[in-house]
Amino acid sequence: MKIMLIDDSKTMRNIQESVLAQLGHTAIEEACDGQDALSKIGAFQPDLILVDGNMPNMDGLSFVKAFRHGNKATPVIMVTTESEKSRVIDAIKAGVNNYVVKPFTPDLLSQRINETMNKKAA
Amino acid sequence: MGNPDPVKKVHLDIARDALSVTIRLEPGVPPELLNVASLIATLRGRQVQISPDVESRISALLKSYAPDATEQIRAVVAVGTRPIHGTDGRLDLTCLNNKAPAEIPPGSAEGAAIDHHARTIVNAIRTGEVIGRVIEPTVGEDGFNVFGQRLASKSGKPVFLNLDSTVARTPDGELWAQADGVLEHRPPLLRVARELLIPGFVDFTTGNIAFPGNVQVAKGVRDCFELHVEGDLTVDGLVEAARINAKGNVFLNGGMAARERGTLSAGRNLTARYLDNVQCLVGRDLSVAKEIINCRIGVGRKVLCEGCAVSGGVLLATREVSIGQLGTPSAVATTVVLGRLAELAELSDQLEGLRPSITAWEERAASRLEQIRKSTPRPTAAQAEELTQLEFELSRARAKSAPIEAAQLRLRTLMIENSRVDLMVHKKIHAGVTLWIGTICAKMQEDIKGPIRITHQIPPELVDPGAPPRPTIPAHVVVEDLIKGTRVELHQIARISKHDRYEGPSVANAA
Repeated sequence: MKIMLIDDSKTMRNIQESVLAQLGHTAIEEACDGQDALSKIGAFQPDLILVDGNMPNMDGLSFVKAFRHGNKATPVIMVTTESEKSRVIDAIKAGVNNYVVKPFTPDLLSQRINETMNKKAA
Repeated sequence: MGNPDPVKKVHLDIARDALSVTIRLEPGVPPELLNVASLIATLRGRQVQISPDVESRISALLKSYAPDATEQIRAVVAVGTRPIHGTDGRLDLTCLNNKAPAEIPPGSAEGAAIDHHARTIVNAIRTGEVIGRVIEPTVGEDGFNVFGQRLASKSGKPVFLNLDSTVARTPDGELWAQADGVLEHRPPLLRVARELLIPGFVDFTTGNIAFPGNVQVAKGVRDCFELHVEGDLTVDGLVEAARINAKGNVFLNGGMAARERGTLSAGRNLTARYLDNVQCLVGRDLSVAKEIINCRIGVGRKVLCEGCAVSGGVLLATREVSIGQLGTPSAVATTVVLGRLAELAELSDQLEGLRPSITAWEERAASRLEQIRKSTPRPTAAQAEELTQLEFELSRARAKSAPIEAAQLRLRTLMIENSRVDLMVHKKIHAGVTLWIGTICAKMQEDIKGPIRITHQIPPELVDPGAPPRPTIPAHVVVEDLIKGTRVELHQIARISKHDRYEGPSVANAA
């Protein structure tokens, strides 16, 4: 399974990559913001996207909206510090499939990834 | 075979092998005979087969003949073809020429010495290796003589090979080894022998030996030579200060006198006549008939040396030890370490060494996590990131410590299972002998006549397989006189010193 990690923090991308590696996923592409992700997504064709909420140039919500114009199928998990209900609703309306609030434990992240992929498979 | 024409001017010579016909024309041949048809008729009269080639050769001959010629001219006008016989099949073995030349190792300085020990006559073969090829015989081509008769050719003879299951032959004739060993070719037999027999000494005539099967040496092993054997090793003569390494059983029927330089490692059992100044590791049982003199020996299981005297050196064993005589009347330092598997103890120590750093790492991450959580109920983005990182570190630390704990538990169980104090001395144990039992060191103060048995008897209620190996309690080490039937505790006949950890000798680097 191909996974794209979009986060402006290299540390967070490394953490997520380690969790994904523990789950057996090694086909991973990284992007540092929404614009960078949109430029790479066509060539990489991910099966799952993990996107941060707050990023320079293009934030997570804008990225999801832009991405959903052309792709309704690929699941997107938003990984963000924003836990307000309104922000979560906005994200889900924009097309986010699941939501992880920072700080998170590796177990929680892997649980959310599994949930999302199981829903997709069903 | 010259046969002149009736007018004696045209001669026809047919070669003895009937593979060529030559026409000679003398000067003054009558003009009516100087035409192709006439000469062909002459040839036909001698049964020579006429072909267009023959006709063209005759024409060429006639053109070169001048009516006023003064000398004879000649030309071969008919030619046969010789038969081409087939070639015999043959066997090309790629790995039979085996005596490796002595070479200076690549990268050595100019003038470096050649290691003649490294020359070896043994060309070991591994399963799957191509060992050669069978070249098939070829069919011949028939020939024809000038009369058009066929000259039969002979076909080549095939190679007859008797292969057993150790050699496979592919349809295109390639031969593959199906077993580890050394190639044996005694036509028609071709096989990979899994046993190597060295009829004399292992010395400069053989070089070092490395063999993937069993090895038998009819004589001995000379100083500084090496034997690396993946099966069993039997040496009928004396082993000098050599390096012996066998993964299977080792039988030294002539003993080993290593002069503190030779080493020996046996993956399974070692059976020897005697061992003198040998550094030695034995995977399973040790059995020596006569003497063990000043050796450092580690034994994975039992020491079965009922008739053997052990004098000087160190003997480590994890299970039962049965010895004829231990120590010497002159109190040469002789040490026996009972119930200690050095490798397990070292692994346990290494694991124990890892634990503090991981625990500290875990505690540091947990404490920082707790601190941030308490001080900031609603963390900022940067704090959320730091918290996530700490959670990740904590998770990694826990993931590392869990297998260490599991491994330690397994090691402890193994150490308890493999640690048994059971020393039987049949004749005598001399004063000056040192016994290490766990962290207890017992030095014998007087000679004790055998047969005696020293055992460690922990009451069953004290045995806890989950607990770390506890220091042996001297009161539980019992010395039993097997003739009188009396029992005394070890501290009554030996000077006991307790240590926090094992501080006795090791043979970990012996072989």
